[in-house]
Amino acid sequence: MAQLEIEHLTKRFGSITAVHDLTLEVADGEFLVLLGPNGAGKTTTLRCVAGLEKPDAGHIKMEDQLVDGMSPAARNVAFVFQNYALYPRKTVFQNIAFPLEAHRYPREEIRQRVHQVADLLHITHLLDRRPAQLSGGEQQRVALGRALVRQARIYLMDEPLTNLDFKLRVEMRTEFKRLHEEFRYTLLYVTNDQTEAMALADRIAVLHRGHLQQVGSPGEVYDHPVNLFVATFIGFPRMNLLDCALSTDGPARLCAQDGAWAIPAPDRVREAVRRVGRERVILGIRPEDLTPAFEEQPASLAGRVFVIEPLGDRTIVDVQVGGVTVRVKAHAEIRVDVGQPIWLVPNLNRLHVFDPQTGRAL
Amino acid sequence: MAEIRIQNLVKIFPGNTRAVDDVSIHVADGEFLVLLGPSGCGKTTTLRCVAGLERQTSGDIYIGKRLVNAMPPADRDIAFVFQFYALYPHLSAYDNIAFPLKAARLPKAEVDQRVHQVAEMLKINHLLDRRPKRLSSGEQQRVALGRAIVRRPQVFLLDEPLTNMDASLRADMRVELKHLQQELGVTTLYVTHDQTEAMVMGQKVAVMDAGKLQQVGTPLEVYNHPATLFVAGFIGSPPMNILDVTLEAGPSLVNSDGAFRLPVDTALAEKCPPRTPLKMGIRSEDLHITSDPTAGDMPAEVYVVEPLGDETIYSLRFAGNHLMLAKAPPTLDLKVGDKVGVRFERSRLHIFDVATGKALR
Amino acid sequence: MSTSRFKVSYVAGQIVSWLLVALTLFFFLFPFYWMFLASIKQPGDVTSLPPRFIPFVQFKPTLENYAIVLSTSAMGSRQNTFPWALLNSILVGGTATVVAVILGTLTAYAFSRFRVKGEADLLFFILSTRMLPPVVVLIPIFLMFTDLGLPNTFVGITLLYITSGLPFVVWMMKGFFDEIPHEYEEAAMVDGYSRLEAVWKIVIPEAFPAMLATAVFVLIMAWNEFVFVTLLNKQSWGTVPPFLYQIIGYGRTEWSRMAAAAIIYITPIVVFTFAVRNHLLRGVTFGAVRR
Repeated sequence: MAQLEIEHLTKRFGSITAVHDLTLEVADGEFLVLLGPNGAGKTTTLRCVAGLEKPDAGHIKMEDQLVDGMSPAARNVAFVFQNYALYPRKTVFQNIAFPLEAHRYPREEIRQRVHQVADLLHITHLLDRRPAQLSGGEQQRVALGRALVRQARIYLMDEPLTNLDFKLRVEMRTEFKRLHEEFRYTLLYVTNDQTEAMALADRIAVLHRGHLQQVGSPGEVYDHPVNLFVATFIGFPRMNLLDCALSTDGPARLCAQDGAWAIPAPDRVREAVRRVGRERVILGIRPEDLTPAFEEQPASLAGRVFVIEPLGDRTIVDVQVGGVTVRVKAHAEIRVDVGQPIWLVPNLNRLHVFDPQTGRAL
Repeated sequence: MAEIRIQNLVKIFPGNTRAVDDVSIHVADGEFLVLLGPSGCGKTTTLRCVAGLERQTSGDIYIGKRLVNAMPPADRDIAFVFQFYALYPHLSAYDNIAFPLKAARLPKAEVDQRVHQVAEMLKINHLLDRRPKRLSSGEQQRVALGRAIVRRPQVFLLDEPLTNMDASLRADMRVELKHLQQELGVTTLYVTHDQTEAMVMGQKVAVMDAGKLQQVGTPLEVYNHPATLFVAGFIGSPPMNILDVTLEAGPSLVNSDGAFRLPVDTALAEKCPPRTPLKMGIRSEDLHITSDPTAGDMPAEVYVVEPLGDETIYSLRFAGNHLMLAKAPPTLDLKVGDKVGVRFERSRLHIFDVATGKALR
Repeated sequence: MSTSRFKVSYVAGQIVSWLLVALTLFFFLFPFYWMFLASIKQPGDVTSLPPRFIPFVQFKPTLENYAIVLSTSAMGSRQNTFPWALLNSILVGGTATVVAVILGTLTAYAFSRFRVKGEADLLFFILSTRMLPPVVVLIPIFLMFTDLGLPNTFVGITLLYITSGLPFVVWMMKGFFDEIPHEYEEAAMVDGYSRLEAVWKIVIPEAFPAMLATAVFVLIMAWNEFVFVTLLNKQSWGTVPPFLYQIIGYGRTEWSRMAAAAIIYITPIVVFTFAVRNHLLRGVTFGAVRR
């Protein structure tokens, strides 16, 4: 029995369709992340599940029960808002106790549960303060506490880490994952940060302009993206894309339009391209699947160094290949100058090809 | 010579807040220096003082060897790019870029030539007729840059111009900005709170915290040799692992309850005062996970697994219940609860004095 | 040194700013000072030349004027006295304010949170009522009121003030509600409350200061209103402004008594406004800054 089923959800705002025919399931105890750029429809989906928005079409089911007409209060879900929505005139204790008071829990039990959650999130020392006296990270934990203090069917989170500064964000990300490992909450989590999605999710659902692109484990969406959008949205630095054509006179090769480079095409690539009957395709290759070399190499992409991006633990080298910028991930200690010629050798087992017209992976 | 020299800059706001506390920075001619720090550290205030948008309480600012303390912004020959682009909404992109030139009463032909030259450089030629409303944020940012570049100022001052863009656009714009600055060779002072931005773009990075300057150096210098605990924790993704330790016989670094004991070499031990509280720092990429540990490797248990695609970040629990992050290639497929050995790259250990926060070298 | 040059021009700028502020304050406050003086002078001292500004030194102050004004035995019937008019002002102004603020707040909430069809048009329509000088509708109102039997009643004038104040309340409170994140109620709703409960427990406490600030404006409007109440409530339920006006007509005008009456009349408003002044400042900048 799935904890949450979204069936053919559609939601429009005026002339804009925010969510289009979305069907998605979240299993009991699963951490499912809704990932996509701003405006993809992720928050709208979450709000429909919570009952804060009314869908134009489709159904929401929780534990096999249709919840469509039910008010948010009746659905027994918990929601963490992006801006936390902490009640400014209440103390931290009162904020966390609020949902329990709404359900008329006895006073002693409320006290116990609030302290339990506060311990878990290391905010016991803040219980008497008001939200305005807390830092961003502390406020975030209080918002989380208010959600976790309930035994909800599903916990809905709308970009809870987005407003934190970088260091805190990384720390809280790890904590989130730990909490999930320990308590196995059913979580539907929204973010626009693909690193966060990859780190946290059991499964990622990628959304773009209201349409579901792909659902799969982090490994699946990273190694086997089904279209150009997923391939370029997931992974940092972004996957390199190159226009090329399959040439079959002689050994099968992928060649640049202007003949600037050519690399051998593995069998599976050759088959896939032939099956679809395309001449021109888009080659995708991730920066870590290229190796830089300073002498001419066969079956490589030749170019000149354009910009060097030192990240500390590695260096990204931006190379001009023909008219296109290709990024390669290199060791932090690499010594290279702008304008220097460089050859990039691709890992032939890690090539992706896409149909230029549909964007789908071949 | 268009260097920037900031000497002993102090800015105190009403209510006695020391926003900038005795900051001295030198930006060489043609250099790209990034002022990096968390919000409220004083970086934007410093920038605004250099621009003349803010009046410093004391201290001197030189732009190209001229003392500019009393000069209004218009006379300092600078261009300022704001966080929110600040484009004139009722003017087309062309008019926005031409604006400063028209204000300087340049002849029409020259204005036209320079605007097109800049548009060419920024690849926005086809957008010149549009109003800001019809431009994407990346395009708007380029128009804002164009407006700054077209004046050919001595100095560029940029205040977090990429902060409001989404991640992938930001990654592209970083590279473009860096390349642009390299081509133009204009002295640039750039403010950001994003350490990745600072590392990628800056020739030099100046780290600030609570109004004070922590360290100035090249990106690799501040990354590999952080001068203070703050710099060590602020730069690097994920943040550096920090542990409270003392030096004991062995020599080893030991945590407070003695459960965690890391043997170190004598060269390192000589740098540390004995029996004093210290902070040990090591980056996640300098912890190497081995499935068959040898002596000298620390035992640990996998606590959280974060697969990022091109690498995996493991949260490891060490003796004494200390958590540290370690990076590993995606092929190492560990699960929560697995027991592993961890080799600490001893040459990459950082030690900091607790009282001053300074690195012990 | 270069920095001291900075400081001199800064100090000079400060002096000029303070001078301008002092001048402006004097310009606005002097009439009130004059009125206060008039209220504690003997009738003869009020119009004497040269004018006398310092009590005890230049003239002998007295509280006689206040005593006379506040007594209920005066010209004509008992109803035609200052205390009676004051009571009417309080009842009419107070009721109108309370009703307008409550209704207006509820309306503003609905506009802020729900997608109302033709919202922009409706809001403009509401605001447009404040664009014309009220005098323009004086005659139509008078005729309508007469047909409905509303002149000289409590209900009539109060209703008029409510409908005058309502658009203002809606406009102010909507801007304010727009600034309160809707996530506050939504969090409460998800946590187990109905929308009504959520609004009562969470939003209203937040909105209360703004409601107070808005109430001040509505009250001032009703308190000072002159034209309509003079025309409509000649025989009963007249408020203070028409009362003061009619005093002028009786032979020689007793400026000192009028001044005393005026001081008494403005005092509640001044006190109330002063009490909520911080909320007022917030109120005036509602929705003006969009982040």
